[in-house]
Amino acid sequence: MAVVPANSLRFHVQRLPAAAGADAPDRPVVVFLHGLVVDNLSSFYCPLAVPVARSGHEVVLYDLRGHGRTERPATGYDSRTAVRDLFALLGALGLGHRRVHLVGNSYGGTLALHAALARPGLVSGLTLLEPPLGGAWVENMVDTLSAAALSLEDSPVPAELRTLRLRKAANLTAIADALLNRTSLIDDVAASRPFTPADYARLGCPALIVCGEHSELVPGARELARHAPRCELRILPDLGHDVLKESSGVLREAVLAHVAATVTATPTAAAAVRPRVGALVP
Amino acid sequence: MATDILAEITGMLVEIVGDEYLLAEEVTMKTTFNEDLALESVEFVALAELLHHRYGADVDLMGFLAEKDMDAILAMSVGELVSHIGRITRTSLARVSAGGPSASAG
Repeated sequence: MAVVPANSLRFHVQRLPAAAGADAPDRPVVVFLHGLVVDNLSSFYCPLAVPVARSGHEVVLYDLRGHGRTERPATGYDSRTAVRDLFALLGALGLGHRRVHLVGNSYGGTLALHAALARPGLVSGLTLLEPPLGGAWVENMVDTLSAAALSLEDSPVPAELRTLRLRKAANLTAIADALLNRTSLIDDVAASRPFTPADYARLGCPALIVCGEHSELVPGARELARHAPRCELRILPDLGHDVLKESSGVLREAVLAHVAATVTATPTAAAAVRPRVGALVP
Repeated sequence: MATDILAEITGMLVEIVGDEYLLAEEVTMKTTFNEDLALESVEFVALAELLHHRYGADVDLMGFLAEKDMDAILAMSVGELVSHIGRITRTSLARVSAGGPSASAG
């Protein structure tokens, strides 16, 4: 089991080597950041991580603090700590000086954007899948998480599922209960500071945002695409929030092309590059 | 050889999941990852890593998995994975015994 200590925590990490002979120190390492509570690194494995590694990039996947098979401390679920976790982990892996391309799904996309703004010299590209940005997402997310927390608190369901030998469901509810009722995760999300247009304007690296046509997160993504100088928004028809699971073929091609296009990209100050908004037809 | 590989994979599963959680009485070639073992996706990823370390790049697990999604992977039987590893391992052995540069090294 790949357990890597970083930032006083033991992280579950998976590294996929680049296709034979393809990796080079000047090629960005592609790092994947998953979503909140019921997610972990495995969501990326088949649809994106393996194809990206086979396309010639070293890949790093890890379970975020408290998620999957990483340790679950009581505190530290704010974005600032998540960014510290990310770069401490890359340092522990000996990749502290390598440029990285961050791929984030849902809340992982929000964290990836925080990381790119915090360390512009190291993040050479972003791929954001359905990132919650702007608008009322914090309030909506906190409402949803709080309702889930209440339903799981002192619930006999996890134990009953285990008795019924429904192992996967039992594990899922147990992790959600622990994260929502016995850590600071909800309070930390509630305290999130929203991004501003000025934040978006100083995003120097190329970014691809992918949203589902029916997702309520599209307006926030449009706001980012409008203000960030090198940002492209693609809308996948007929899909909602779960673009990672529902659109693997189309998404894979879009992400591989974007990662390849950003290999030589260097972070710049906000250049006067017109943002693009387009639809990707499968 | 298949028996050896099956025993090794069983040992890896116990390492990842813990033997108290393995639902099947016994892991056989017909045991499936999802229905019989209730293996989670993140646990299969951990298994893939252990297999890569044990059998090396020749097994090309990423190539084997690249054509599948996680649902299809978890629907596999342990025997399908054993067969894939066995096939590749036999090919490697045949290459060595055919007189490649490393044959004389034993």
